[in-house]
Amino acid sequence: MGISSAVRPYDEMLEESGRPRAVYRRLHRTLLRAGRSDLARRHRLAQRAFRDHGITFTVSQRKVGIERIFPFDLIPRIIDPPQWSRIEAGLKQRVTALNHFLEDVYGEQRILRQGVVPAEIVLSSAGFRRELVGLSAPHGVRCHVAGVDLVLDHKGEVHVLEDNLRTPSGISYVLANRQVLKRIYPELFVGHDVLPVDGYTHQLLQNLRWLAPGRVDEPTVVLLTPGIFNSAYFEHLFLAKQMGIELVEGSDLVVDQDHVFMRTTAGLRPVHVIYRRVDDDFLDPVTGRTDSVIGVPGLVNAYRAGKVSIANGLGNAVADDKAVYALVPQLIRYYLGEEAILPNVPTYLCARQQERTYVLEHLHELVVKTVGESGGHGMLIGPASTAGQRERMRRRIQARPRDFVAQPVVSLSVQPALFDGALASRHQDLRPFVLTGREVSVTPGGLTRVALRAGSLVVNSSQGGGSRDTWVLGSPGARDAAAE
Amino acid sequence: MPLLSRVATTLYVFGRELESAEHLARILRVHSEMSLDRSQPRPSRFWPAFLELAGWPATRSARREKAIGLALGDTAGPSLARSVEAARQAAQAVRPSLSTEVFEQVNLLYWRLRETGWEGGLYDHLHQVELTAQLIGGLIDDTMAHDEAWNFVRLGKFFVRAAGVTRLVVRKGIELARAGDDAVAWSSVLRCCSSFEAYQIRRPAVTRAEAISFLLFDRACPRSAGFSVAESLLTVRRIDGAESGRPPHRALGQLAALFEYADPAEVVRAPAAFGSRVDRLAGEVARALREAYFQPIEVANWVIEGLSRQPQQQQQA
Repeated sequence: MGISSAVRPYDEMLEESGRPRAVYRRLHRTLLRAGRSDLARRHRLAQRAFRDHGITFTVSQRKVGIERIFPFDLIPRIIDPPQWSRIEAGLKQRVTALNHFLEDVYGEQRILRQGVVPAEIVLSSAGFRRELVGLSAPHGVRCHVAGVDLVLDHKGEVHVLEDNLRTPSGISYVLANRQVLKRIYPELFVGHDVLPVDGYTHQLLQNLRWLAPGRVDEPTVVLLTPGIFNSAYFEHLFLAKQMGIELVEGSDLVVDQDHVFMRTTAGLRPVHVIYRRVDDDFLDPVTGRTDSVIGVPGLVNAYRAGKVSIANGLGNAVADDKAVYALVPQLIRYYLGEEAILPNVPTYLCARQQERTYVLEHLHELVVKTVGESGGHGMLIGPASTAGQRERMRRRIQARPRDFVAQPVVSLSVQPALFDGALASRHQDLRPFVLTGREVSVTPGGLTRVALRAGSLVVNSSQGGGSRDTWVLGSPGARDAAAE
Repeated sequence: MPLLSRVATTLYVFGRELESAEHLARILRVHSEMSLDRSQPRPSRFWPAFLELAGWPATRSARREKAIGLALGDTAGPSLARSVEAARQAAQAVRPSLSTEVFEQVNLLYWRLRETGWEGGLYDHLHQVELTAQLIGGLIDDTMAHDEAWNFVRLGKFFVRAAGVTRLVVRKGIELARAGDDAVAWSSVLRCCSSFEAYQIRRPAVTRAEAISFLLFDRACPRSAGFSVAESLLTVRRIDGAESGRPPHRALGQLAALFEYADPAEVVRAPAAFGSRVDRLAGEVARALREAYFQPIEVANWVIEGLSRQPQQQQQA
């Protein structure tokens, strides 16, 4: 579904005149000097490095798992210090408010009782887990790892497109992209004071240990993966290895009298904290999907009994529901008494009659999204749609208005990417990762996802997107050096 | 912290498959050379006998190309491709327990086998596989902590090596029963176990009795079955630490005793009988490993007691 936006997208590297922006000047010069064949050679080296290091993901094709490399573009994205400061502050603010919201919704529900946001929208979310109401989370934190998708509009202004508060993935590629780029193109880094990204796993481990229930001196933290055939398996093993924690599958764990144990060669050993990369529904066949073979029977009860901590918490999907997304600026105002630093993309809730009427009249120019879906699924991109598709969507919206929201087409920013040794403009977004422990922290940069086809706005890895290293520059001195 | 049972199992499989790949590459290389320069007593049986030795079901006839094709790449039975793929899949599943160097070499071996055939030269192809498997063995010893994970990889490696060498020696003992002290034939058997050079240094001449005794019982040659069983026993002792006398320890102890106290002259005379006794005890070991390490289900009492005691202890403190 390659569509072109009507307005000219913002180019992060080049001004309209074709000159590089100040922050990209040195990088641009290095690339121009490099020559086509050298760039193509380094590109091949990068592909090879990803394959040899086993940095791959599995996609299903006709029930057979195919191993793929996540396409990688050599040219890094650069974010200058002032812009990053704003993004960082905005993300901390947003995730803090969302954590307050989750604790409130599963607690006293003050925000609903006071009518600040409509209770019918929140409580009707498919992600709302009624059975968890009244269950407080350790230290009041429910979203420990968030991946918030940002886009730059045609003016270069940052907007939040989506909050991912369940099991967001991509951080391993942030770390791997940096590692590979350093090895195959060290010259690019010269003269740039790039902030490191390696601190992520240390911080995550520290935060996870902090969650241990009771007063355990040496808590056992594990990472729960659906297994080797999951598309994000590389990320799971990468994180487990970096943190030095056990990578477990559901069948490795057993619950006895609400305590969680893992099966070891010396019998069962207790587990205190689970960083799970298994969705809520599959986590426990007793309370979720009974056909789940990747879950652990009794795990949710152990969690409810406070014998094990689980990150991210259960029931977070209510806060990254796309209809609730539209309410986040109000949440920030209510819980923090502040205005949102990073604006949302304007969003129409089909649950509201007036907004629904507008959406139905403007289907041809809006993007319609299903509230509970992610990864680009369940969408209608108005300008690229056929009359038949719009008619089907109209009927679906009228039948279940709560399930749909609509947004104007956002023209994602572009940046040159390297294909066959030549530069070509491609759209991209940014997914920074926000960790919440004693404090909220944001790893500098994040995952820049790049659309591989010209004009395409689809950046999801499951639908053929690629990625590139993302640099946040440190000291002003380095900024000057970069801008010289 | 003891290993997850699944991880222990997978590390064991990893060590086993890596050893199997090297073993298969080696015996195929030696047999391929043998088939070229020497008229066989029963040439039509040469490749079928090789396939049986490699673990394929008995077949009446198989030509060189067909047999090589099966042993290299057919995943319906024991083949290089199957072992390397299984080793890589195991390595992927327990990657956090392996060093990066180990994983990357396994991964490279996998891709090399997938991308290049043996058309460029069978010797080179197989020799490269052997060397890479040995390199990985060295990396396992030199880049991984010598902890429980390392011990399970070694257990898989040495236990399957003991079985492989015993099977080879017993079969060749039967196959070459009428050949007497055919030095060329028994030198090839030694080469099939990477032991020819070690043998030459330690033994006077190549004879049937000496070769069989060396390959089964020599305690200094890391390729001998006796050495491999003793090494397996050591790994189990290290895994269990103070808790000696668990079933794997006992079963491996009995197998080690068989190698320790067998009468070499009797084994040379009747290799098949010895092979049967080894098979029976090896089956006991496999069962003990499964029950003790790979599928434990009991909650140890101290675990439950420890959990319920914890708050009280902390309040007292």
